Amino acid sequence: MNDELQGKPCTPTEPADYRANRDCAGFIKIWQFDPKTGQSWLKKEINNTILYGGADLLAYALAGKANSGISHMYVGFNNNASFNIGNEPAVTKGSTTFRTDGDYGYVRVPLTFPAAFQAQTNYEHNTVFFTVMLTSPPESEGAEFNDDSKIHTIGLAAALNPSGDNNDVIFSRAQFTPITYDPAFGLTVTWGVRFTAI
Amino acid sequence: MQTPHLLYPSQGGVNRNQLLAGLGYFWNNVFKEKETLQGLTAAGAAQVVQEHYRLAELVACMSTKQMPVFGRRCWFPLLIKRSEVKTNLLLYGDGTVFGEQPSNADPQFAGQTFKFGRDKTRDDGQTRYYWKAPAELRSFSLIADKLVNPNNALIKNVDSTMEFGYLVLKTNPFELLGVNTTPLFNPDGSPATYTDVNNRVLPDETVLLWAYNAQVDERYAAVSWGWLFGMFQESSLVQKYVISQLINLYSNGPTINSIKAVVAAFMGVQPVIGLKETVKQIYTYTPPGHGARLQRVVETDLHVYKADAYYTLASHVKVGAVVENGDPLFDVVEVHDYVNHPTWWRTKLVPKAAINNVEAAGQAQSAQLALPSHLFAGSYNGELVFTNSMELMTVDSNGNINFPVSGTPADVAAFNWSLTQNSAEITKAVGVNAGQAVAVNPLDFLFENFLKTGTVLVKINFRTIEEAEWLTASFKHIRPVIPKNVMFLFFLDYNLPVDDYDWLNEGTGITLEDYGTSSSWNADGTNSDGRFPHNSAGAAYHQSDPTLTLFSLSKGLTRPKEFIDLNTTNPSPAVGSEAAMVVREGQLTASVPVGKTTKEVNNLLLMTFG
Repeated sequence: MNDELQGKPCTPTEPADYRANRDCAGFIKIWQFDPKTGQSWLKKEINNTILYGGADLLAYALAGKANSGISHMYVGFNNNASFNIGNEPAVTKGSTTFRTDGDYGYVRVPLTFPAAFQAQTNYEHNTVFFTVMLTSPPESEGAEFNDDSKIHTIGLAAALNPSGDNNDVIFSRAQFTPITYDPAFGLTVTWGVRFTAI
Repeated sequence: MQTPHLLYPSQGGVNRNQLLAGLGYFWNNVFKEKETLQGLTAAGAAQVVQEHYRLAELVACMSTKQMPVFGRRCWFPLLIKRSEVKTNLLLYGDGTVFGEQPSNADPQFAGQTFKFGRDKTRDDGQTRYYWKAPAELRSFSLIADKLVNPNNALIKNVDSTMEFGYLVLKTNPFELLGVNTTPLFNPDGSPATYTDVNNRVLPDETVLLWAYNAQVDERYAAVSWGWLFGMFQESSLVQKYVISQLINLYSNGPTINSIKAVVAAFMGVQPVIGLKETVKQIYTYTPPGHGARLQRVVETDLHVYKADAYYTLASHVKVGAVVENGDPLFDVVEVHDYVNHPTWWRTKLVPKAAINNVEAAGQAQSAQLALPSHLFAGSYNGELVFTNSMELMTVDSNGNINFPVSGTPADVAAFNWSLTQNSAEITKAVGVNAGQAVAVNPLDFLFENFLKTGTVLVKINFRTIEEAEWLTASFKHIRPVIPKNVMFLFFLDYNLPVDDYDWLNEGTGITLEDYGTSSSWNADGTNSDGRFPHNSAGAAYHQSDPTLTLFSLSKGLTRPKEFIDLNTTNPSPAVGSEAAMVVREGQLTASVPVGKTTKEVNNLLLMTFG
């Protein structure tokens, strides 16, 4: 038995802000860019929460279930000028729904590029990247997606039903201080999910 | 011929009695000056033995691997003048710290505060006698007062030792029992005198002692091989390793192992000597002696290898593993290329300290890599920096590529222009069209598409600045040998020492006896309240304006503007109260208010001289 483990309590000792999952973690970057000039600005760099649905998707993928791969991103927004992110409930592992009531809405955007895989020797940091580009977003659910929209949450989803959204499973989700959507600029979201197996 | 054993007193082939007996009946039984003859034969034999050693050492110098580090002298004379013997000398670099010696220091001096020009007082009450030994003397077995039948034999590490070039004795050599001293005279015939630390004028004299089996710096490595590389340093094991591995590099070519071996040699680490060796034991130990550092040891079936415990074992070194010739067993140097680590640029461009501190389940990530301008076609003024994180690469509506690279605006523009010349191929490769963007890892992009197959990273983990200094000075000897068609990135990982300025503030360790009355002060001249003493008028606390002092120590500013707590709005603030003083680019923007001291400026240490 490892000497370092002897006599230690079985309860976790990591600090409260330590990421919950050592083997699977995600991180998100959101850029705004000008399609005309190519200029870009990094707007957000945040970590995500892997939801309960994430475990289902991993199990489906391992079992070879069709359409279990990540295919879409959900971009949640609110059109109220006085929207305060501080009033939103924190994202938990069960935060699988995106609100469409009142000023809330979301757009369901298919991945712009196929998922990119960045392998790492020794399986220390195998990472999958998912990217969407919001230049001409699809029609929204709930409130209209326009230049008043304050994007405050996004989710990574797999469409188990490829022809509809009725069987989408949210893999992971993040919530952040809102970014106001500007149709004159594009938004690019890159979402990396890192798998560690050491 | 069998090498005579160097045992004390001499035995076997140089036994005095046997030598005399070998001369025959007449010299042993008829000749009256038998003892003189015995001394003569013994001296002749000792000379032959000495010359034998000398010859054997010179022959060994034909090989860089076999050459001795030091020459061996059967007897090395030590002519000691009484005026040159010091007691309990305070030596630079002997571990002494400013102020009170910490409790974990040499137990003989814990808790003491030394004074310049004064002896160190040992807690055991003993006195040590220091004499500056001849520069070439490095070690010995014992010191005797006579070559034959000595009255005193001072055994190394028991009665005597060598410290920083000084011969250190437990006994005053002039007070050894039965020792012969010789008075000294000036050229005019008057007795030579000297003044001791107590201003007493004493007659000077000498004593002759002999160091037996002395290790003497004959500059074998420098004279035999070092001149090829301009290496004329004092002899040392490290110098021998370095010269040996440089010769190996030049003669056997720049294999990965030979490059690693020559770099490791500068850190005093010897790579595997045999063709194949099996690791038998791995352990750590601390050599005897105060201040000795923990050593990491690997025992194989043929040799023992050790390095400072700062270095960790190479990943393949385990008990039972077979290691090959030239392979350094410790992480003094790491070589990464596309074959042995296909994505080394993501995780290996990281200081050793950062790797050690990374969380258990994670791995340190390279932050970025700056590449020199000459690596890129075109005219660049400075470096281009490629980060190891996902960044946005955009293509504008005209098809111009904006790649996420840092540098001067002109260099970035030049780089993007060169990419845009091949815009069709690149945009097709990454799957992006005009007016679109894609996230890429710039460092990954660069290596995966251009550099990975022709680039090698040599990461050198220095433990001390001295190691780094020597290697960088000698790098000119390595560079001509390494392959021209491969880009070698040398990562010099400096282990910068931490400067610990203790007893400057928050302590009262210095006693100024000459200040008038004896009292204790902080090292910056403030008292235990952190205040400078009143002047005679009692008006101000400051003896001198801290902003005008010649020297100052301050916390390194990590940004152009840093706030320091000091309350300027309160006309009579209490000691330690909050305030606002701004330091901009290392300069105080306002004067220190009257009555304030450096203790109150808790982010800033000002050291006053005068």
